[in-house]
Amino acid sequence: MVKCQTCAGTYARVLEDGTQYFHACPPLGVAELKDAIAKKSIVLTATQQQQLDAARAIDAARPPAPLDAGAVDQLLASFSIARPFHRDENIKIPALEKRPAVLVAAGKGEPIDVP
Amino acid sequence: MNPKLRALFETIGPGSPARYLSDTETLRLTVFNAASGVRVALRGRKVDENGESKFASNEITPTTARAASLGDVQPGAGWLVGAAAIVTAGTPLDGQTYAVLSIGIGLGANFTETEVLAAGTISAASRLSWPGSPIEGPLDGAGALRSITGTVPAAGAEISETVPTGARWNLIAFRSTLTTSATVANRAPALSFDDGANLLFSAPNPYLLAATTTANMSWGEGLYDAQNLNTIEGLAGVPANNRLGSGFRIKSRTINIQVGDQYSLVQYLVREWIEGN
Repeated sequence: MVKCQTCAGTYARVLEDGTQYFHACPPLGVAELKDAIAKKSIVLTATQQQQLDAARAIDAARPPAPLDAGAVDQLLASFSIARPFHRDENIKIPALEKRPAVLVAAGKGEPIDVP
Repeated sequence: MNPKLRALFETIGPGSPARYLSDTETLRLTVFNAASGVRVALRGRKVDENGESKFASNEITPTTARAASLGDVQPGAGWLVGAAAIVTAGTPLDGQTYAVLSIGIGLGANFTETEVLAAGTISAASRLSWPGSPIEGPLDGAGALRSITGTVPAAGAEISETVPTGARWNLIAFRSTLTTSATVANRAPALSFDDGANLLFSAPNPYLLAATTTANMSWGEGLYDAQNLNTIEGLAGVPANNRLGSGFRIKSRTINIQVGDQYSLVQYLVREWIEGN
């Protein structure tokens, strides 16, 4: 098993059937998005910002019940924003006879071995 | 008819689709493969202008990354009377190794394809042969059944599995375990498909997880939503005959997920084809 240095996900590089596994980091989760938006470390598109403003207005007008997700949480769960330095081990299809293939995104580098 | 050519035709046999090759023409094997330990042989038989039968062969170890791997032979001038692509090592399933037999001019990067003789998936039990085999596309077969163990995400993160480059998937079943932290909230897991950026589909699981709970979440083709209270297993459906192309993602989408929530035991069953890009 190895651990991704970008997202801390753990996976096997070769599956039980002998095939290669190509890890790709998940996009930012809701908690990470909230943190990134608060720190202004990501830039939302104009449409996303409008949606977020609208969701905040809904939550302000009708606060969600204590156990339920508000409009902001539901909206952020629908966003797909790549995490910084995301790693994607899938290969870019090379033209015939042009090797080696390169990764879609190297991220923070090779994963580290974990027990 | 030229007596020499007449003799050749008699050697080859009437009705044969034998194809004359010049000195510069090449018999090429192109393989797209996902299985490990596979070797594929390209074998051809020709009858030369003296009426003698000769064999030509090459063997390649195709990459497991579903990209094209090539093997060339130049049999020399004469009549090509047969060619085959044969798995000589490894045990690829139907759908994991796709081969194309073709003819062209030149070698390697200077090869220009002029004809396709045969194309289709090959396995330890099924060969590709010319004449005889049809020209099939890589998506024509039944596909390979694969049970895949996915990435266990960090705590608080969602599951995200990407269809590999060069593959096409049909998701049959998906299962994982969610263990929630002590933070009070009702988590509502869903399984979603996207095209790498845009959300295409989302199937909420009827099981809502409170704090400090562990439950198994399953999704299957054609299932109706159901929750088995005896075994703590939430069930929901995904579209029948769904197709996911390279770069598409299968993701969890958990409303109210908390920082300490942990997905684990990510396992799913797909039917996989090779795109042959």
